[in-house]
Amino acid sequence: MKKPILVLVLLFLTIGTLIIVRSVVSSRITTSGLELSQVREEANVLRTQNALLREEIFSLSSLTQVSERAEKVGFVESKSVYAVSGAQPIARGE
Amino acid sequence: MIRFRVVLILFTIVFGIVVLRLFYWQIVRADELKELGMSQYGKSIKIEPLRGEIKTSDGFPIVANKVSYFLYANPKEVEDVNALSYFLSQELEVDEASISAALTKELFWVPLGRGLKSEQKEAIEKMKFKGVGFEQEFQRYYPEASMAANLLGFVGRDEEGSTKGYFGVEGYYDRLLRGKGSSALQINDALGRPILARANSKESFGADGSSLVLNIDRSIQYIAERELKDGIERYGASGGMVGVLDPASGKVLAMASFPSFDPREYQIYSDNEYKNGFISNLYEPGSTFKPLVMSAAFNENILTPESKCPICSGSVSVGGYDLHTWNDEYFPNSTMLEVIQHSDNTGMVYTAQKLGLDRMIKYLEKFGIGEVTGIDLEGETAPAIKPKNGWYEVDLATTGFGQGISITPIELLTAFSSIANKGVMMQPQIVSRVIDSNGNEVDIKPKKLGYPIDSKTAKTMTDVLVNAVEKGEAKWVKIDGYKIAGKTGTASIPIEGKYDPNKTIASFIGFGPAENPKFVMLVILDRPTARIYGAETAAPIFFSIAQKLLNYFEIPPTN
Repeated sequence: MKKPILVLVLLFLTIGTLIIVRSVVSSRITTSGLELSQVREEANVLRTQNALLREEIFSLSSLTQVSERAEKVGFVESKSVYAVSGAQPIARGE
Repeated sequence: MIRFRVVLILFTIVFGIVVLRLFYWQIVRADELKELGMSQYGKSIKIEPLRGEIKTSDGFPIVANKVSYFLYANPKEVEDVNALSYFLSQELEVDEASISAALTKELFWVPLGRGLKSEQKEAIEKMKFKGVGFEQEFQRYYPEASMAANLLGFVGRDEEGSTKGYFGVEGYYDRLLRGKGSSALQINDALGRPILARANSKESFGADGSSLVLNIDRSIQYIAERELKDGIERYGASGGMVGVLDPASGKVLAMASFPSFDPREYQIYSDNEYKNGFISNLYEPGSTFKPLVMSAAFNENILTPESKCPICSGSVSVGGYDLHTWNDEYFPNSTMLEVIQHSDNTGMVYTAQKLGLDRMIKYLEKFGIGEVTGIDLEGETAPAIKPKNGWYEVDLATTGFGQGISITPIELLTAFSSIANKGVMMQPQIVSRVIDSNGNEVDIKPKKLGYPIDSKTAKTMTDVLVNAVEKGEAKWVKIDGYKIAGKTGTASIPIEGKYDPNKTIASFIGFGPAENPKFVMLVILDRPTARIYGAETAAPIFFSIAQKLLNYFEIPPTN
């Protein structure tokens, strides 16, 4: 009579352990899901910030902007360009 | 026995009904129920791919994407419709009544605004209105404003509400730029909070659009647009165009066309303003066409620059029409060199007649006239050359000086660039490189379109064109110290079977430096009013841009 009781106890213990393990695993998965969601949200925020910064950089470095600013601070277009060329040798020594 | 049979039949019928019902739910309406079931724990979300950027040759994104927000509301959850309507109307600068009307609808979801800036989103969020939400999306952004707008095209939406490129580069490369959309299943927990998102199936994996690197040089484009704009204003023209190519590779370094449009507000412009006139406007090129006809005569060894014109002492009568020079000045016995220098129409009639119809058609075809160049832009047109039996005697004569034949500016510039490139005609190309979303790059190689003339003819014609710049009508604007080859053009505009006596299309085509060309350029002014001749209007713009290009390319003067 003792053996069936032992088997039953072992059986219930196993079931109990499996239930606990399952609960732990499930709760962990659920938490990691939330964590993943948070990480994604953070990544999205950073991506958005990055896009906004890029937008600002492009806007500030556009030729239209640069030329407007240059004009405002007093730069003027040079009308004469000087080309420096080497003097022609009198004899080539050939 | 009968009772048993009745029971058996009844059971069989009931069993059959159950099986049929199961078949109906499990097979016939399976998909519908599956979706219904899925909607209880999640929802399918459409993921729009990020459209590829368009960069100029220096890597600067002339078309990029910017973050914007889509504003929506659930009217059932909105507590104070009046306050929300008033605030949004102030913030979004829209009519308060239209927002109020949307918020009083018996719906769970109404769109309120698209393209909101992040500052606007923050301002609305600060007010903590209930029932209002945002969805992040990307919009086209143009750091250089409307620079090269006709060339780039714009992005609108198709019938399904997805983004779609129209005209120019956006239209031609739409499939590459738009990428592939995908869908994902957003799973929520019991409280409706998102847990995980997973792709629905293999087909649902998408990819962002590829980016394009153009041959367009941002600095040259800027210079060309600025000079052209100034020129249009100065000469009171109704529009204008500039195209700059690298003759050795066919790379399009700049292409500008006015009137233009603002791609950010494309809705308020008409179709005509979207069009890139440089590839789609047909016009009679006038004297800028003469170098092609003269090259054909040189290439066939019918004429040389020293050949004399025996019919250049006065106007010429052909097929019942009197053909004059542009200023009714005549130069008896002038050489072909002088015919181009004086832009002498009678000399070109002589050249065309010496060439004959068969050879004229052969060379027009060799120069690609009557066919699209294949430039990678949406909207290129090219009318076919008339069949041989459709040519009258006068048609051959007038084609000699570029009247009676309609072409697009890109056709002329491509054909003319073969003179600058030792007789080799290259296909004009806008895009140089495609970069996919994984960073893989594909170069677009230059393509030869043909060899209309040999290198000796190209050299001879270059000398003739240098002489035309040095001694011709446009010599007053030439650049000292540089050899530039070029030709003026003043074309009459055909209207209802006649030519308009007061309006012209003024142009100048040329390349430089003549000995090793770095650029070939065509400038066109449409109906200038201050002055009507190419030498007085288009030529100054050409040389003003050319001077800046020579400085930009750091080419020192040769003498």
